Order: sequence, then C-alpha cells, then structure tokens
Amino acid sequence: MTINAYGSKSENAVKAAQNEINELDKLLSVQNKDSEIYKLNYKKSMTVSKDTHSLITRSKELYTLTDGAFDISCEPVSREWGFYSGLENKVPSKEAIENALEGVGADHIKTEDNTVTLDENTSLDLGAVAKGYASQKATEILKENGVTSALMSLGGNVRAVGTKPDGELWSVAVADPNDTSKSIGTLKISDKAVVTSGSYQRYFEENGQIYHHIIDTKTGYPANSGLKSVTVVSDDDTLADALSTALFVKGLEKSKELYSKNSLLFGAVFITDDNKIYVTDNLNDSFISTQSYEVIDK
Amino acid sequence: MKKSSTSTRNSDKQNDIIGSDLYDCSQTVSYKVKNRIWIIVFSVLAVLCLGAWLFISNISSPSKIVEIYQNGSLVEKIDLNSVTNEREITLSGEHGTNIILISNGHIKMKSADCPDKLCVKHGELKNSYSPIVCLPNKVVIKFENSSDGVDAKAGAVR
Ligand SMILES: [Zn+2]
Repeated sequence: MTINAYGSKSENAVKAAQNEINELDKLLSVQNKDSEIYKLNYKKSMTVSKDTHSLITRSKELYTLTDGAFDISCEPVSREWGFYSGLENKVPSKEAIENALEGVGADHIKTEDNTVTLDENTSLDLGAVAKGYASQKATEILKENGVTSALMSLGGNVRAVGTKPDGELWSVAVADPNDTSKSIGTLKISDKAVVTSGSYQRYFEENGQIYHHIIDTKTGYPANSGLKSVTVVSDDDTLADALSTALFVKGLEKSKELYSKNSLLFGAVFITDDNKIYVTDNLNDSFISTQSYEVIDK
Repeated sequence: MKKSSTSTRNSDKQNDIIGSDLYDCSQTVSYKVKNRIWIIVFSVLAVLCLGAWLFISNISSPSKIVEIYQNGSLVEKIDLNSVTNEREITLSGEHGTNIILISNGHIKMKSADCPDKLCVKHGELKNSYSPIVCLPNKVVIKFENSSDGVDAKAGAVR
C-alpha cells in the first residue's frame, strides 16, 4: 500500500487513512481467522459491524446489477480450486464443483438490521470488493482531513484524490497483461478509482493448461470470456473493484451492453485474448496510447 | 538486493577455483591454510564492497535532471550534476517568495514565506516519489520523469 498526499494536514490524514485500511483488512479478510467474514463463514449467522454489513448489502446490489457475474458467495468454489493460502492449487472434480456451487448465489445471503445469515453451504469472500471499499473509505478520510491532492495504490488498485499538486491530471498506466513491467496506455484522471482485473494476476498450471483465479460462478470454472484484463474507471471505488471482476467474467460483448445502460457510472479498458484494446467512449479523452484501439460507443 | 546475492554466488565459485589451484602447489599445509584464510577474507571484503556499491548506485541511480514548476508551468530545468557554483532561484507567489538553493547534486527549498513551510521541512529532493511541493505558492520541484511521467500503474500486483 502506498499513499502519497500533499498539503499541510497530509501527514495525519495519511496515518488515519492507513489505519482505516488496516482495520478494514482485519474485518473483511477471508483468510484472517479473527476477521468477521471468517467468523461469519463458520457461524453462518451473526451480528456484524456497520462496515461489513454495508459492504455485504452493497455486494448484493452489485450482484443484481451484473446479473450474477460479481458474486461474493464464490468462496466454496475458489476453495476447491485452492486459491487460498495454505491450500494447493488443483483442478477440482466435476462433482466437487457441483457440490460447491450449491450454496453459491446472492439469494443465499440474508441481511437484516445488524445481522447477516448465510445458508448452510454458503461462504463469503469479499476479496473482489474489499480493496475498493477500503480505498473508498480512505479517500473519504483524506478529504475530511483537508487533503485535496493524493494518489493511493492498494495492491494494483489506484485511487486519485483531486489533481496533482500543480493542478495537472494524474497519469495512471494500465499494465500490459503480457508483461506487467510494461503498460498498454495511460489514463489521465482526477478524483477517480482505477481498478484492473486480469487473468495474469493469479493463476496456476496443470497438465499444460493455465487456470486463473477469476471464477465464473455460473460454471464454477475460471472465466473463459476472451479477455486478458479489464480496467474500470469510476468515481466509486467499490463499484470499480466489483465491475472489473464482473466485466472480466462477462466478456466484451455483454460488457458493452452493461456499459450502454450505465455509461454515467463507469468507463473501461478491455484487452482481449488476441491483444486488441477496446476503450469506452467516455474515456476517449483520458486514454493515451501508442497502440491502436477501438472505441466502444454508449 | 537480488543483484548482490547473485554476485556472492559468483565469488564463491571463484574462491573454489583459486583454492584448487593452491592445492596443486607442493607447499606446507599451514602455509596453504593461511593463504586460504587470506583468500576468504579478501573475497568476503570484495563481496561486501560490491554489495555496498550496488546498494549506493541503486539509490542514486535516478537521473539528476530536476524540473521546477510554478502554477503548473515549467520555470527551469537543471542538471544537478553539472552545477558548479551554488546558486539561488527566487520565485514569488501569492504568499510571498520561495528561495530554492541549488548546488552540485543537490536541491532544496532554502526558505519560504508560505504559512505551512512544508516545502522547507521537506529538505533535499531525494527521489522521484516525493517531490518538493509548496502548495500555497504552487511550486513543485521534482526529478524529470523518464517513464512518461506515470504516477501509478493499475493492475500490477507486487
Ligand atoms: Zn511552502
């Protein structure tokens, strides 16, 4: 995690923002045995903190918005694939995947006043949205503390607060999925979250076949939608984080449909398996690249 | 760090070679042992020196070309390594003046009339990650960016 903030109150603001991120990580991590999510997955019903409650509620809304492409109940499936520390990556049997899929879907998650209740076979993993939520909260804290210029980087998620100190736009590079030391272009932004989901970020190989970590909960297998990476730009960090996963799962064509209905909420840069770049038209002025790309109209 | 560990391995190999050469000479055992100790001592020193050199050169590797901006526009571009005489640049803004001190290899905000004085407290410009910024007077001192001025990269998980 890096936070660069400018201004007279920036030092304390950065400390407060870092604390918030660490607290949220403790609360929302699926791996940390002391986290609320870990306990909830074990107990299946419990009173949770405001943050956990609101993020689960929001995640259910995002499940609906994305027709289930974004799904926090993917935990049992990801577990079968061994995508948690201490587990070994393996291709699960068909039966194992079918069993794991039984508890998957937002309708297995019930939220009341302060409690969350999961069905017997349901477990949550907020990994595809927790970083976004954390950067959103950290951004609020920076702004409340009078920071007007900052850039945060949270494990590949980037958040710009305001502009650069000199008033210029921030330059955020989009990683080249074939070689992350390079980039395929740059986004000129202010006050935006930029989140990328790519199959290159976590994967394993078995019998010459590559299996990545972004699971399509409709099939229980890594999403095979023809994309190498999706980068989402939005005012809303949580939305950007969830959508980067959802659009990756959906693939280019279905993502275009979602964009035409929600072009005020987000923009996106897609890189396909055959290395073509597609950029939504609301990012046309902010995306700079030496490579050719196609523009997606609303 | 990675670089220095590779170099350690290389000199270990070299050590073995020199050692076996020595073994071929028909000299007394104690002499051989003494020689071996000196060889080990020297190669350890050599590795330490190499490591230190790599470490230092890594720190000071960013280019020494520095840019000074005011109100978003470039005021001056200086190669700090070619500065021979110490000099000052005075910029005046909304909150009085900023005095920038430039000497060979170094640049800092010497004094400022801004209310917070953060730019002065920043000290010398050390790396490309933290430019010297005077927000009240809209002055920025930073290293010239070699990577097209990219501030962050999305998607690259370390
Ligand atoms: Zn100042």
